[in-house]
Amino acid sequence: MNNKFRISWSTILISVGSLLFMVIVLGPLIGLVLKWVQAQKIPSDFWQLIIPSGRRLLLLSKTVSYSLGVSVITLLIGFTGAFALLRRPGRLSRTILWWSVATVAVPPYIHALSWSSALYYFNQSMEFFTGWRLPVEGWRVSLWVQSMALLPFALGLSLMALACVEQNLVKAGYMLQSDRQVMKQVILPLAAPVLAGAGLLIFLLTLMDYSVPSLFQVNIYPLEIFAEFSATNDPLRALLLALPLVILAVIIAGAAGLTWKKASVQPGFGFLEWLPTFRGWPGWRLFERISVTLMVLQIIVPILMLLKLVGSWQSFVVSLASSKIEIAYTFGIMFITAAAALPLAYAVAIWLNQRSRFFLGGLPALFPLVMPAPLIGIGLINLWNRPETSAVYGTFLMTVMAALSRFSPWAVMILQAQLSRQNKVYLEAARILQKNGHQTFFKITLPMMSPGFIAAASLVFILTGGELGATLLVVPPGQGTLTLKIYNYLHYGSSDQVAGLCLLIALISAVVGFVLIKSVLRMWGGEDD
Amino acid sequence: MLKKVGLFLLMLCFILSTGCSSSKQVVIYTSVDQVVAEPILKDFEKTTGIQVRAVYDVESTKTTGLVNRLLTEKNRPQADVFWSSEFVQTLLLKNEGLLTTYSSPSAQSIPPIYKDPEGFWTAFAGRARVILVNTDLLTPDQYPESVLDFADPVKASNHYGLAYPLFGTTLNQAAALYAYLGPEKARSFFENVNKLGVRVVDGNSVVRDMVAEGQLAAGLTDTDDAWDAVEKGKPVKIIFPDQDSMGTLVIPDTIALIKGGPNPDTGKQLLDYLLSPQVEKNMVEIGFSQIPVHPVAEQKMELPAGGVKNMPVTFQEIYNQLNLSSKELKEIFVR
Repeated sequence: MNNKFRISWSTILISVGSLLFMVIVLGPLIGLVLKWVQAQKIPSDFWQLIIPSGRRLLLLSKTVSYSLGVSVITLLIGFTGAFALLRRPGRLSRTILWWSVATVAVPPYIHALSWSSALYYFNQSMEFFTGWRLPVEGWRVSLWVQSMALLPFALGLSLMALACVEQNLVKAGYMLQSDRQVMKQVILPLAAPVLAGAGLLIFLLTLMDYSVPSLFQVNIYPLEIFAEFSATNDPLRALLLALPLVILAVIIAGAAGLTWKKASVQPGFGFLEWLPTFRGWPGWRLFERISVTLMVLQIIVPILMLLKLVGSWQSFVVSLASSKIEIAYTFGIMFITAAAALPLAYAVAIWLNQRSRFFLGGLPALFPLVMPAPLIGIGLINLWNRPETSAVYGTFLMTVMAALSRFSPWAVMILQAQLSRQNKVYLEAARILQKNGHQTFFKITLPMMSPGFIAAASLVFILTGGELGATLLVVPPGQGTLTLKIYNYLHYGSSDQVAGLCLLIALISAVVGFVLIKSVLRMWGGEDD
Repeated sequence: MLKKVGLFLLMLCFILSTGCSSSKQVVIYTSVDQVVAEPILKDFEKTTGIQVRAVYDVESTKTTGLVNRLLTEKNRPQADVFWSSEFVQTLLLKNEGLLTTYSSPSAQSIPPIYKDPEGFWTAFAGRARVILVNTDLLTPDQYPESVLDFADPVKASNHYGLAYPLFGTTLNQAAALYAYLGPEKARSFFENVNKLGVRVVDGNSVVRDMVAEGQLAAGLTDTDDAWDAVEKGKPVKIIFPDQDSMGTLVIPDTIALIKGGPNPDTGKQLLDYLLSPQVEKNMVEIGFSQIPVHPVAEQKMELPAGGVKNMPVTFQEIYNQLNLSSKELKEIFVR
């Protein structure tokens, strides 16, 4: 009887959590559909909008190739770099890791501006000495800069991928096979699911961001969507134009999701001492060195450029003093969103894992990942700007919901992966010996899930900090986030202020990253010096 | 541990909720740069005791973010005042029935061409579309004199630049050229611009920075951006184009009251304040506006002798060309 009561409570919690998740995540989309149904205004060029042809088809294919290129480059560098840093754990490796984490939260546009300036100065010197210069625009430059901006994501997720590799399997592999074979047959297959998810994240982040390519004279499909939206102010037309991207991303997300489910983050990097050294494979060692060098450059270039622009300590203090409210508001929103995403995403992850419900519930939840951000904001306004919800509309909860809607699907994917690889033996034993369900949850489930929770919360936390398109539409009057302020100042040319705020984000992210790494290592009983 | 986290979250909620209530307040949505608008709004707060709750747009949304917010909030408006850094979006809001009429006493001395005939909006604090040239890279005889030089095979190259003519004030300028030259000539002009490899970048501030740093020899931008480069001592010169021919496009700020806004009375007070000569003078002084609609004694920027010759097209004529110009320019530039 008691057991039945517990099961029903957990079922209720999971159902309520999943329902809430669907309302918050799919709410904006439902809001948009409601608006069209009310307006009964279907564009006459409906089919032309959703089926790209001619110029638009070419643009779409270029965009997909570009996004794939960025994913491949960042993952190659991120994975080999993570490999090299983990094999030599020390102060330098940890410094590189922390600062990489720190630069994740700096908007990609700032990375791009820093690289653009660095290229300019590099070319000036090169031209003076050799008469030769690197190109400053075009696909190759844009691909490079975008890859550098997203490299911290690739590094973080590659670390997660390597944490999925079980030490015992690597040990066993060494007894029988060479380094190359262990890499090929043990490490890569075990890391592949998280790497696939990482590739998807980077692919989607690239697919939806036209600001970095446009700095280098490269047009991608989202610019087409934004130009249409800007010209017509019609969200329906923008969404119809975005539909090919949505379908494409959902297909890729579906494929990645199927492999992602096979992954789980293991407690601790206990396999550190067992990573292959590849002594007989000089090509790999060289590639590792190049990757680590690029990682260091990826940290140095934006940080140096920001320091140069800030100019002085006083200028940095002025930036902080003038943005106290935005700093408090932004980090408040980041914390609340990350905290709120976990129970909701956990409920959905359990619901999806109970049966094969991925295509029923999982795929629609992915829509917000590829919907243009302003459309999410518009959907939220449609849904919540009503007399009966006035206690919510116009408050910080709208900003939280915008970020939850955009980023909590990532938390679902991570927790789903973690859930699917829980140790069933521990859970069975706990069920037999437990005093009640709470005891099992807090003493067994939570510790086993904690790496997934930390990874999911960190990702949502960081992505929320950089949210712009949806926040602008729902931020309460009189409030503002740091990202909004940075982009506003960027236009005015207050480079020192922008740089000061970016540096602040980087510093706080470094502290958060440091605390996270420390706590993770302590929790997993790893190295903590 | 859980209690501590709960307490922390509760405190956060409290912090995030504070500052949201006041007996007398006004809500303004503005696409004017925060760094310009914020001090002006703070002054209004000090003078009147009315709390101003502002939402600022950012350039990366190309001034469409707040307009879309207003359009979506149409049935239950949250804003009282819309202050735009250009005029096209304000005309759109008028056409969509979002604005209400108000004849501000502060606007009495403003010339009629800067006021909506029906009283829905008022324009002030104009900026002009100018050419910024890098004086290290070009000699005076090489300076472009006309916007049309950007399609001149001899002068233009990848050393010239402009922002995407799909957004913001560059779109306004494109629509103005469509209105002045006619659609066929204007399309041909932009096709040549594209063919000659003129660099199309992400915004007017990027054009300014690239010219100032010598990455571009000349670029089309707004006077406030151009003036910022001058004030920072960059090797640049501002050219008011076409002063002997079609004239320079002047883009003023526009301001309007939102129909059904929650605080109409304080909205009117704010509108009166923003349209006052003193505020416009301040905007000239900080370098945001160079073409004021009120007489201003001192002007930092050197204007053409006898004043700036405006392009002879009305705001409505420009607005009418927006859809066509936007559609055609997307085909030309987004590839």
